[in-house]
Amino acid sequence: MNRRKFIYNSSLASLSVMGLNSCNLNSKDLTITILHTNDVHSQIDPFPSNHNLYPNKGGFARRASLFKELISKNPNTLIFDAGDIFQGTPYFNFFQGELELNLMKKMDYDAATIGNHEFDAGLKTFKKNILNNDFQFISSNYDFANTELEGLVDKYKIYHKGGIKIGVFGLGIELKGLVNPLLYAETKYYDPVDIAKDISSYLKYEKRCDLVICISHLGHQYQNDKISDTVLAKLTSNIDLIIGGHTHTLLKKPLILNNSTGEEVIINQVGSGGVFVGKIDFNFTNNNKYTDKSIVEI
Amino acid sequence: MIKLIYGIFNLLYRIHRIFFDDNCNISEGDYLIFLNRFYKIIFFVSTLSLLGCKNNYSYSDINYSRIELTGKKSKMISDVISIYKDSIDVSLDNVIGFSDRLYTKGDFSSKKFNSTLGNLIADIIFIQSDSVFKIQENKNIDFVIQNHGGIRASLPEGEVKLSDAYKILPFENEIVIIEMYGESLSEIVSFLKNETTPHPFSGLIINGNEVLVQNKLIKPSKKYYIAINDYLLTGGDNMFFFNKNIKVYRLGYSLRDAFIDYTKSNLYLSSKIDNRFIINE
Repeated sequence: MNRRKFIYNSSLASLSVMGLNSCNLNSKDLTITILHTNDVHSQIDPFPSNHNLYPNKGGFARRASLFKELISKNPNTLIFDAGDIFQGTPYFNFFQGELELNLMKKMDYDAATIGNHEFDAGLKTFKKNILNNDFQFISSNYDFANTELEGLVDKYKIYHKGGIKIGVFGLGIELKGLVNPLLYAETKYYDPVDIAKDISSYLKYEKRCDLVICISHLGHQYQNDKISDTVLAKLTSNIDLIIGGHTHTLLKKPLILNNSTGEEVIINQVGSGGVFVGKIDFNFTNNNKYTDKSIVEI
Repeated sequence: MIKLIYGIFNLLYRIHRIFFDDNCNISEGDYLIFLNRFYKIIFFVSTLSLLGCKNNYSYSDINYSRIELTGKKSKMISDVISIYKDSIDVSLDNVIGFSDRLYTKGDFSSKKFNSTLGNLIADIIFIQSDSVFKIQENKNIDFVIQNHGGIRASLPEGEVKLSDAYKILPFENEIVIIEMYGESLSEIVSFLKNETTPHPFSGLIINGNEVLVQNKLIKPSKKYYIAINDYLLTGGDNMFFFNKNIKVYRLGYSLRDAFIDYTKSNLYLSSKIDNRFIINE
C-alpha cells in the first residue's frame, strides 16, 4: 500500500509540475510573430530596374536579411510560405526548384504548403529537392500515398514558442483541370472544408493549441462558388489565421471574417514575387490574445 | 497530457510488476479500481489546471503598417545565388529584340476582351507554329488559343532580354496542333465567353454571337487545325473540350522558343488591343 501511495503521490507531483509549466504565460506578456509569403514564383533576384510595378524590389537576399532582423527582435517567430514557390524565372527552368528550397531553408522558413506549381518539375524531382534540403512541407488535403512523396509531407505540425502552442495545417487546390495529371500522378485531393473542420478541431481541442493557423493555396476569393479562403473561413471554426496564396491577391490589410460560430478569422495574402512579407503579431497578455497586423514591404 | 500521465502510470505499474511480481498484493481488480480513482483525480487536476491556463482571446485595436526596406541584403544568401547564377550557361542578359511600350495581359476591358500582351503572344504563336506545321504536315493553322494563366509576366518597354522570354513564358510547354470538327468549336467559344479573364487567341473573331475563323463562318463538318499547348491538351485551366479532337500533331516546339525565334527574327515587337473579342452586354 505504501508503494501504491508512492505512485499516487509522484503522479500528482508530476501533474502539478505540468500544470505550472502550462501556466507560465501568466507571469509575462509574449508575442508570437508570424511572417508569411506566397506565390514567390522563383523570384530569386529582385525585380529588374525596368519592372513596371516593383523595380529593384524584393529578392531572396533582402528577404533573408529582413527575417534575420525580425527573428533577432522576437525569437518567437514562425515563417511560412503558402505555396507556388516554383516557376517563373530561369532559376526554376535550370535548377528545377533546388535553389528555392536551399535558400528558404537557410532563411529559416519553418514550413510551406504545396501550391499547384510545386508539381511542375514532377514528383521525383520534388522529392529529391525536399530530401536534399530537409524542407518541411505541410499539406492536409493532398494524399501522397503511392507517390514519390509518400511519408515526406506532414498533415499538420505543432510548434512550441515561449510556452505557446501553435498548430499549423495546410490546404491545396484541386489539381484536376489545373495540373497535368502526369505530373501529380496518384496524388489524391480531398475536400478542404471537411479536412479543415476535422484537423482544426483536433489541433484546438485534442492537441490544445493556443493558435491554429491554416496555410492555404486555395485562393483568396472567386466570382463563382469555388472553395477559397473567404469561403473556408465562413464554413469552419477553430482557425485563427488563414495565410493565403494562389490568386496573387495583394491585400492592403488582412481581411477579418466571422467563422461558423461567429468568431473572427484573419485572412491574409501578400501578392506575388516576394515583394511583400506579411507580418502578424499575436500578443498574449495574461488571459487575452491580441493581434497587431502589419504588412512589410521589402 | 492525460495520455502522458497514463503512460507514466503504466510504466510505473510495469516496473512494480517486474520487481514485486512474486508477492504482488495488487490484483487486477484492485488495479482497475485504482485506475478509476486515478482518472478521477487526473480529471479534477487537469480541469483545474486548464481553467487556470485557458487563454480566452479577443482582438485589441488593430494596427496596420507598411514598412519599405531597401538595400539590406544577406551576404550569405547572395553568395549562394551567385554560384547558381554563374552556372547558368546561357546569357540571360542577351538582348533579343525591342519593345515599343509596356505590354501586359491585364489591360483588357469587359467590352474589348483582349489584351496587348495576350494578342502579341497569340499572334506570335500563330505565325511561328503555322510555318512549322506547313513544313511538317503541309497544312495551315486556323487559329490559336493560349491560356491567360500561361502568360506570367509583363513585357517591359525597351530592350527585350532572353530572361524576359523565360519570365513571360516560364513553362516548358510545347505547341500542339489539334484537329477538330467545326461542330465542336461552339463549346470552346462559349467557354471563352464565360471566363473572367480573356484567354488570348489569334485567327478567331468573336463579336457577340458572331464567330469567325479566318474571317469565315464555322462549317460544322469542316476540319479545323487549332494551335494550343500540351498543358491545355491535358485539360489544363478546365479546358476539357480539347480532348474531343480527331488528331493531335506535336510540333516539338515550345511556346518560349516560338517567342524567342520570332523576337530574334523580327527584332521589334508591337501589338494593340483590337476587335477580335467583343462582348456585347
